[in-house]
Amino acid sequence: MFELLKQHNVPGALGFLLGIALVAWIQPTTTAGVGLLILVSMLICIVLASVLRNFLPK
Amino acid sequence: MKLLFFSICSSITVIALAPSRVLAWSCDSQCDQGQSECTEWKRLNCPTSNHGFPSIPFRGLNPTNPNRYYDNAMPAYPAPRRPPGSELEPQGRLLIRASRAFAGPRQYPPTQFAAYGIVAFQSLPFDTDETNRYVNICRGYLAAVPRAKNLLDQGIPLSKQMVTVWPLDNARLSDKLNITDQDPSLICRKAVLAIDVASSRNAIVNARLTKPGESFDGRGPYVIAWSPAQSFGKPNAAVLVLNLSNVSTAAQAAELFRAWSSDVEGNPQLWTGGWNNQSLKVILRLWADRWGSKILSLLSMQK
Repeated sequence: MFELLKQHNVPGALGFLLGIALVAWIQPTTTAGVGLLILVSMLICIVLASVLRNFLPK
Repeated sequence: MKLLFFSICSSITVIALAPSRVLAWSCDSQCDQGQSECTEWKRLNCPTSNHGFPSIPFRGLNPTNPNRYYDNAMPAYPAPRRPPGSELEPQGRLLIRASRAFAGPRQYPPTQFAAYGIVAFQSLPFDTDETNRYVNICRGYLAAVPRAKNLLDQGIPLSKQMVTVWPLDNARLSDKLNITDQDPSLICRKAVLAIDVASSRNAIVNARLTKPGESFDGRGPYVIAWSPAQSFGKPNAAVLVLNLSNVSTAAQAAELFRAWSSDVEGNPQLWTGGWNNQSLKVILRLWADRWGSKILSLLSMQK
């Protein structure tokens, strides 16, 4: 997980910010729910960044 | 490349935060003259602290229907006083009030009500965790929905109530629980041990026949409602379904039952149009709360 974040620090950081925004909107009642939302949004951003990097023209 | 990605993520963030910002802007700009009506308008239309209760899911400003956000469980939002026996809201709509009752096997379906619902269980609780979950759902049910008898005492006849029934296998126990003022946890322990699975399964089977597209494969329980009350089991009846499969705490249950009550009271005309009680926000919250600890513990085990 940490290796993944090191390799994708910019999308990871943006995903973290997105996760914070999602937490503010959804307001989970458990700490694990907060963690899961941030984790999922970071993974989505990392995957999105990887896809864009591979398929968009440079 | 990074700029493009940054703009996509920023857009998603803005979209995620937009509803609350728009609401705040709307609440602030609606009354900027310092008029005395402003406080009342904001009290009715803008979400505030609910004295420890979880917030009601926001579904948009509705100035034409301020009663939409009145709630029977919250002392901060008292219902407006009306003459006893009055059947119309100030806007001229038919008065329907959500209520609750425990019911034994022969007391169901309660046809004297305008409409009725049932908390339908797939099974009896099979372990301690499931028992505690059912008790929590019952506590939310007691907290958020007023007793039918209390509404009757206030002059709202049964024919103007939409009752949500908790099915029990013992009519004597249901009569006792309907009038007792014991601690809710104690009531719920008894109610969970005496759940009538046969009535529950019957309701699920009937709802499945009436609404073939609706899935009833979760762990439940489901809150299923029919309107009018005599339409139980008939094809093309108006059926509402609220899935409580992802609910585990009393606060979550209370929030969903409150939303259920206010939708029943505010929009009976929507029942025939494929009404869905759970907003995206609530679905995501329940999902994150239910699966968060499991997925995170799985990840930490793999480390």
